[in-house]
Amino acid sequence: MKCDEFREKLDAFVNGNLSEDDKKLMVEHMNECEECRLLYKTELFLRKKLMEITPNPPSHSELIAKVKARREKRLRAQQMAFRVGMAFATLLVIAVISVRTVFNTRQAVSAELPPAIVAPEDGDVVLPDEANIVLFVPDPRYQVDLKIDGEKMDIRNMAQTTGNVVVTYPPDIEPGYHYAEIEFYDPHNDQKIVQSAVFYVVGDQ
Amino acid sequence: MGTAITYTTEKGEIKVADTKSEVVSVNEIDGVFEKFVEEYGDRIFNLLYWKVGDYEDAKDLTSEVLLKVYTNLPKFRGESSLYTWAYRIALNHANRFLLKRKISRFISLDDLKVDPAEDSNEYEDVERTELQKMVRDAIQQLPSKYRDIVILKYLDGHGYEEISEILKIPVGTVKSRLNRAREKLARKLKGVLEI
Repeated sequence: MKCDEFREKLDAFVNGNLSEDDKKLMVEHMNECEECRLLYKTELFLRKKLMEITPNPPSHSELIAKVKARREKRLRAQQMAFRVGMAFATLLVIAVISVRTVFNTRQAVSAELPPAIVAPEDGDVVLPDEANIVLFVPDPRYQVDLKIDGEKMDIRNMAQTTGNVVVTYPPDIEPGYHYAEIEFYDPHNDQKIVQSAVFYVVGDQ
Repeated sequence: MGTAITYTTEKGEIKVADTKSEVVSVNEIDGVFEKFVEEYGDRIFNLLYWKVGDYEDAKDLTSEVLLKVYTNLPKFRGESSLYTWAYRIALNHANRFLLKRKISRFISLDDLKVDPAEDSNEYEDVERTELQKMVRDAIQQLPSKYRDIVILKYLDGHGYEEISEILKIPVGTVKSRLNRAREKLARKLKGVLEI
């Protein structure tokens, strides 16, 4: 028997799944080959000892308590982020209404305040559930295209519009860095405004 | 592997099964989750311990993985066994942790002073700790793809087919990686084995 064959059959040998002839050949080879003998000992050692030298796991009650604490911390962070987001959106709506009132504008699309991504800003770190893209769209005549990581999103099915603020809820964003690109197209003046933001979604663990 | 866990509530019976054919239906997540921790908590901790080589890190990672399981249990559709699903979450989570640790050590060079063996050893006697340290170091020095197979086979007693399913690699690759891992460990553990 050669070393390659010995190694191939080692697992079955230790499991007792070889024919008597093969077992005999394995034993003969082991007696001749120091390296394969060492592999056999390694196999036995790992099977018998690895579990034995694994430290005792923490108690289940400790684990459950830790999970609960983490969950509550995360919930609090989400609630806080939601409140901050809502406050910001409200302020923005008020600001836009004030500007409109002051200038009494009912002009063409391009004369309005330019459209913009309100959130996330470049470099923002967000939880997966908060990975919403908030846009300021000063006129409903703008055509808005949203791409996340180069993939076009169907904005109509996941957006909620309040005044000039459009909040989109992209489905299941994976943890990691993402790139949002928004194209605002003014069909009347055939003008495009492209804006982008790079943000980081933290793992939901 | 494993037995089906059932959990009875006023609303009916909830099954968290360890077979492909059954799907988790969850009305009372907390109850199911506690059962899950009872059934799999230790195994997930053991996996993470040998994966990252540090008791306290493994404990933190276990609670993070369990939170992920808790959050995603209602979405579990039974495409794989519950355990396979959780195991993949744990492996991915640990891989990300190891990558971050590698980067932070590279940046701060604090790997020179960090030795996992010096942490949290109150629970063992010296002899066992020495052996544990040697084996842990040997396993830690294995490339991740070999380490995963060693853990799945020797700690959890999975066969080639199950390992292939969990890691999503062909059975032939499992065998060849196992052979390579065994050879590497044999060289590192030679001193212990020849006593």
